[in-house]
Amino acid sequence: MSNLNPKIMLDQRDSKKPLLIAALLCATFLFAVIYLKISIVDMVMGLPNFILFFFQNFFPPSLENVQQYIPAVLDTIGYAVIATFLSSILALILGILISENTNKVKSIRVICRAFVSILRNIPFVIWGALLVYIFGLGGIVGVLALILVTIGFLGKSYAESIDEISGEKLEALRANGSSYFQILLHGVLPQFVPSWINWTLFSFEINVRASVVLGLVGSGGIGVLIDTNINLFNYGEALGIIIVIVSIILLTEFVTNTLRKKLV
Amino acid sequence: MEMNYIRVTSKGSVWKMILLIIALISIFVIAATLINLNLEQFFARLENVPGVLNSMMAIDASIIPAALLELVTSLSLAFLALVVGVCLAMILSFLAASNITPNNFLSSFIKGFFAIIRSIPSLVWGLMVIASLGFGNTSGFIAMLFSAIGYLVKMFTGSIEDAGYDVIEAMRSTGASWFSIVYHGLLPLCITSFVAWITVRFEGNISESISLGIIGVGGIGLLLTQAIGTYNYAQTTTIVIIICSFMLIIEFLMTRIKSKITHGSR
Repeated sequence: MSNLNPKIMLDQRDSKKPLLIAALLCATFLFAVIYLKISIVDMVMGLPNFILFFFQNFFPPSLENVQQYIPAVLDTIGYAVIATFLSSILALILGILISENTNKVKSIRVICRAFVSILRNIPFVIWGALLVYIFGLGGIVGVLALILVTIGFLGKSYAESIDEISGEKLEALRANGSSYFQILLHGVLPQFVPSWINWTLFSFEINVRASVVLGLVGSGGIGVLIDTNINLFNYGEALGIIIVIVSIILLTEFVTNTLRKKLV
Repeated sequence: MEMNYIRVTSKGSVWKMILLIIALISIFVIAATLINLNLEQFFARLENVPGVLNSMMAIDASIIPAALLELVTSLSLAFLALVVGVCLAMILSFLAASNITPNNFLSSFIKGFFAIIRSIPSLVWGLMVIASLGFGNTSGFIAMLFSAIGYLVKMFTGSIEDAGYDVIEAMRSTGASWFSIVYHGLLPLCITSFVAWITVRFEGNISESISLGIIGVGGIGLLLTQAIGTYNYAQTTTIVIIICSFMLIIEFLMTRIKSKITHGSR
């Protein structure tokens, strides 16, 4: 055999498909840039410009008024706690209604699934803005918006977890003559508890973040303080609040991770 | 024969359960008292709700063309931030993954830095960027870039670390350079999970770019804010329906791409 071609191909993949995808991506990218009327210079220089502005104006953070933020911080966390509690109960009911394992009536399943996916697919800020529009400003609007979105998220996740529970055990219970609620209580729920804890803790993390943001659209909590301070050009103060927010979120992540390790 | 009652749950776990429920209820009560919600005001306003909802039961078809154009703006912003974010995040996560990082210090620095970047919500980034660059699409792009990179770096790094040391050691023993280990060894291994994370992020980017409209970046979110601000009920309803159906379509498409990739139908 001749050894004329010493180069060994490392890739044996079809080389045309990736090229095609890359070309498609490039075309879409160009279209997006042209459609948005962003100049490439602005795009490339945007990040450095922002970082420069950030260090010139936002620095140094002012942490003098930290004590004044405490009520707003407590509100923000409180909204998240209450929303997580209420929505985890409501979402459990919906999850049971959506899963094929626990609900044999197809029409109810479809209706609940559609309801949950509408809740989930409208971004939570839009929910906040809509609810402020309907109810006026206030903390309750924030809690309501959080509950709606969290039901959307948890309802789907719970239903998927209940779906994953094997049908065999439930069938064994059914063969024993257990009633529907006995199957639910002794068959479904015990197996569902670990994923229930996991998803609920995860949604609490999301809720704390969302609760901060919802303040921006007028539902109380610490978010509104960032907005007012930036509008008043108190950039140092705004950065101070942002640091408080970062600490809340990192702390929440730490707490939920610890709880998760202990409980599951 | 006497019928015996068989305990299904043991006594100990019943007590545990009761304690847990008491703890949870007390957390709830503490939180509820801390935030002092104004329930009276809420119930007073509840009376207006049927009226508002009634006026929202209308559709204004004249806004649909403008809304669709703005929807393309939101979509383009999300896509732009996604592409640039993916490119940057990929470089950063190969530098940060503990199994391939050229330098351990660099790895922990990138991980820590992006943990902080990630914990700032994108709307807060939006406010800061708008303060420095003004309103407009560029600001939206930069704001979304931060949260996209923050998220992707975490997920990509996780996927690369899941690949373990086997491939890396095998390739290193043949004298392959860092770059060729990454390009020929790790990238083909991780690309499916990368694409899965990218689809998740694309959904997130779209909902963020719509949300950023609320604080004045362009797109359909801005149109909605204007409709809400002028108390135009029919337009508000129409735009919300458009947003919701669009998000449903995107969710459906992304789920299909994800399952197609992870179940390997090439």
